[in-house]
Parts: sequence; structure tokens; C-alpha cells
Amino acid sequence: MKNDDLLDLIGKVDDKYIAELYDSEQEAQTPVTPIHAKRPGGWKKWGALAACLAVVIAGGICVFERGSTPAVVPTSAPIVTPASSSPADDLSVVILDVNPSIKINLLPNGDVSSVLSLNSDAAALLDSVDLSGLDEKGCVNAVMRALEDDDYITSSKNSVLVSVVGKDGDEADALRKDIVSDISATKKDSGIEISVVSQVVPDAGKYKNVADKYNISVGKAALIDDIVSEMDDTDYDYSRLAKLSIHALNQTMEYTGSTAAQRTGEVAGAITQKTSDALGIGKMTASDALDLAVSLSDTYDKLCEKCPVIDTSTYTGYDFHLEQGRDKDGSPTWIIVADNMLNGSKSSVEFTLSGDIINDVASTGAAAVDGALNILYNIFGLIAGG
Amino acid sequence: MEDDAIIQLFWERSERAIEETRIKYGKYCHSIAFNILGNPEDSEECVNDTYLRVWNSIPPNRPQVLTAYVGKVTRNLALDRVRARSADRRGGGETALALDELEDCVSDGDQLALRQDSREIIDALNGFLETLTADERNVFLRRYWSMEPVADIAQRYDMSVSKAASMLHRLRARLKKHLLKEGITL
Repeated sequence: MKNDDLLDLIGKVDDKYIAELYDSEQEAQTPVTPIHAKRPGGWKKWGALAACLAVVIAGGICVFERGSTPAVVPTSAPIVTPASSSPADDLSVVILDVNPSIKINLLPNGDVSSVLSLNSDAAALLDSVDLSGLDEKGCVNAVMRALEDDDYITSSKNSVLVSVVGKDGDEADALRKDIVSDISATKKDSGIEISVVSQVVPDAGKYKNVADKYNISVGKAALIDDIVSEMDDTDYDYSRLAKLSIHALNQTMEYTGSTAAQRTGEVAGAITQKTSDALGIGKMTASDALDLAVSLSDTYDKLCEKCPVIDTSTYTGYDFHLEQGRDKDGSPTWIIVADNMLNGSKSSVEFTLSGDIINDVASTGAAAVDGALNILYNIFGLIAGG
Repeated sequence: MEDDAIIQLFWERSERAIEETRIKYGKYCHSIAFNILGNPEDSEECVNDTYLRVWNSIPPNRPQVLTAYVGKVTRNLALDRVRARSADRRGGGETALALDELEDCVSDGDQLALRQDSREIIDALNGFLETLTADERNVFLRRYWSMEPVADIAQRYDMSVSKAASMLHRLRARLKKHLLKEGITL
């Protein structure tokens, strides 16, 4: 017997084993251990920082983003292919990261070979999209629409990371530019200007261990590696930055002037240097700045936990904003404003974080803000003691 | 759409059957064809041939497992294409490598093949697969049924390429041992 014959006979094994193979492929699209376990409002974590900082520019934007309903898992047929993730070396691999992380394998002719979800959010997202027969541009457009439909991308959280993985040179860079162009062009339909962070990652294997360690894509791991390499501040390490959304990373790059990756389009909520100086944010240590953002976004998460609908304004009857003000001596203040959404007879409530407290924030980090927000909770009787 | 419904469409001679098959299994078939042929154009033709072959064979056939049915048709058609190539009969895909790896499971002569009943060998192969864990079975079949590159298998199961190759080597050795135990010498 020849090996050809054995190969043929292997092709005739019981159907149940082939079905098992196919089923395992389907399951593989959703990792057993979710890369980013979704808690109520969890994906918005660092979006709150974007929102609160955007306030400074716009003069009043939600601190705590208005909640959206949890992702609904549609019943339509899965669009992800059960094909091998990268059948051959000549395939191009593109990873799109927002919070959902999506891997697109492209054939040399530009057609999509397969689309894989790299975390549970992506699996739920892709379940609602039919990518059959689409080329790269069509696939990217469909994914972007889905990200916007599910509120992963909004006018105040508008960042996407594009990573062309496993290749180097002009071809990879040309593909990167094409995809950035395709994503930027979606503004025509959605009205949302996307801020695209893009990079070529020739050696994906270099980042696999750290990506596994922090449950992030190799694209995000590569970006963080480059950011960390650029920064002197030891507070900006993998463990901290890995927790950030792509949008928060994009903002961080904006604040620090990082050139770790190509960036196209204005990142929402990014604070200008002038305003940063006025608020004294520049004087904060990296650790304090991160603590502040975590504190604010955790607050939102706590509210979400109290309200499964994840619509804080509906639940409380107030819409939270953060505004910039100035006290008597001209020092900058932050004012948390709760606008009454339901009953016109009740007035809005303002809670001012004075210049002193801002200074405290600079020196003590999240504690001062936490305390202030606890008082805010008490005002509304939401969560006693925070 | 459920497989039973797709099969029923074939029996009703509704062309929608092909479209539904394409939606559900198109990329699955394409990946099999691509692994074997290593060429997107050939793979596309092969998948189109698959739809035609399935259309022509259902009815009279009524597959119990449509996944396996369309997968096997694709695999067979792709291997036929590889064999039909005059310049390089093994094609540019993973087939040549998979065949080389299976070399250590077989002997030189055809005599045994003449004596052995194919059904008997297939039963022995099924028996061998039954002895494996689910992961081992899937790794083996991904390599020698789907002809996936070893690197892809390694990535899928979160192991190094060398570890995947070593695992496949052990599985081939176990296959040979199992077949010998069943009185089959390849």
C-alpha cells in the first residue's frame, strides 16, 4: 500500500469524527476563557476617561457614558469560518481591536479567507454579521457597522487598532494603509470620525507570551510594548496598560505624543495641551492620572451593577456630566452635574471638586475623587458609602 | 439553516439548496480545498465542483451528516485535482508534506493493498481514532484529513510547532502499532 492510499482511506473514516472536527472548529471561535470577560458596563471602563476629559473641551459631556443595553446574541448563522486560521504563509492577517478583537485572514487576491473572533465580545458581535463572499473592504465595513451598532464605537469612543500581523515591508504597509482608508471612509455613512491606530507587526510570535499572559491580542500587545518602550515613567507598564481599552491607549498616545504606531483621525475626548495645563493634569504622576480615570469609570460600573439595564440616566433620573469651572481665585475646578432627566420640578445638582481637591488628586490619586463621588452617591441615595 | 432542511431542499431540487450549502459550509470547504491545493483559484473551482457533485448525488443519497458529506466530497475532489496535475502531482498545498509524513506508516509494495480489504482498514482506522483523546483525534484529523499546516494546528492548540510535530509523530507510530495489532500491515 502507498501513502496515497492511506491518505484516501483516512478520508473515509466515520462521519462522526468529521462532525466532531467541525464542531470543535465552531467552538474554537469562542475561547473557553473569555479574553475580556464582560461585566455590566465593563467595556466602558476607560471610555469614562475619554468622556470626562472631553468635557473640558466641549464644555460639558457625560462623565459616565450613557449606558447601552447589553449585547444581544442573535440567532443568525455564524459568519466565522471554520477554516484554519492561517492556511498558508502567503495569507495576510489583520487584527482589528476595539474591545472586541477580530482576526481577518486575507487571501493574496484580497478576498477574505476567514474571520475569527479572538474574544467573547467579538464572537457575539460576529454572530450578528454575514460576511460571506465579502472582500477585505466589504468585510471591514461590515465589522465597523456592527461595532457602531453595538455601541463599541461611538462619537465619544472612536478608536480602532489595526494590526497587519506576520508580515513586513511595503506590501504589509500598503495593506495597512488600505484598511485605514477603508475605516476612515465609514464616516460617510455613520457620521462618526474614527481614530485609527495602525501598525505592522512583522514578528507576532515575539508578543504571543505577553498577549497570552494579559489575555489580549498580539496586536494590542505589540502596541503596548512600543508605548512602554517609549516612556520613561515606570508606571506605564504592561500590567497597567493592558487593562486599557484601545480608546484609552489612543488617548494616552495623544497625551504623551507617542509615535508607537500610526494614528489617523482625531481621538475623541483627547485633552488639549492648553487644557491639560489648566487642569494641572500634567502635574499628576502617571499613576495618579490612571487612578483618577479608573475611579471615575469604576463609579460608572458600580452604577451599572445596581442597574442591570445599564442605563444610568433612566435608572436614577439624572444624567451625569462633568464640567470644568473656576473658583474665585481662578483655579480650575471640576463640577459633577446631575441633570434631572425625568421630573422638571427637581433641579439639577452640582458637586464641585475645588482646586484644593484637584491638588489632592494630584498628590493622592483616586482617594479624593472616590470620596467626592461617595458624597454624590449619598445625595441620590444610590450606593451608601460607595 | 439546519442540515436536514438543506438536504430536503436538495431532494426537492431547489437551487436554494446550493446557496444554503454555500452559506453554511462554503468557507469550511474552501479551507479544506486550500489546504490540499495551496492555490486560491483552484480551491474556488474545487468548491464549486463540490456544490455540483453534491447536487448530483443528493438524491439519491441522503447523508446522515452533511458536514462530513460535503467535507469528504471537497477533500476527494481536491485530491483528484492534485493527482491530475502533470507537472507536480502533489500540488503546492500541504498534501506532499502529509504524504511524506504518512510514509512511515506504510510499506513499499502493493501486495498487501491487494490483500487487504479497504473496509477492514477503514474499520481499523476508526478503531484507532476511538482510542485517542478528543484533542489527539482532532489534531490527527486536522493534519491528515483536513491537511492543515502543522503551524496552524500548533497555534490552534496553543503549543509550539515542534511539540505539534512531535505529537503527530507519536500518533503515526501509534497508528502503525494499532494497525499491526489488528493484523493489518500497510
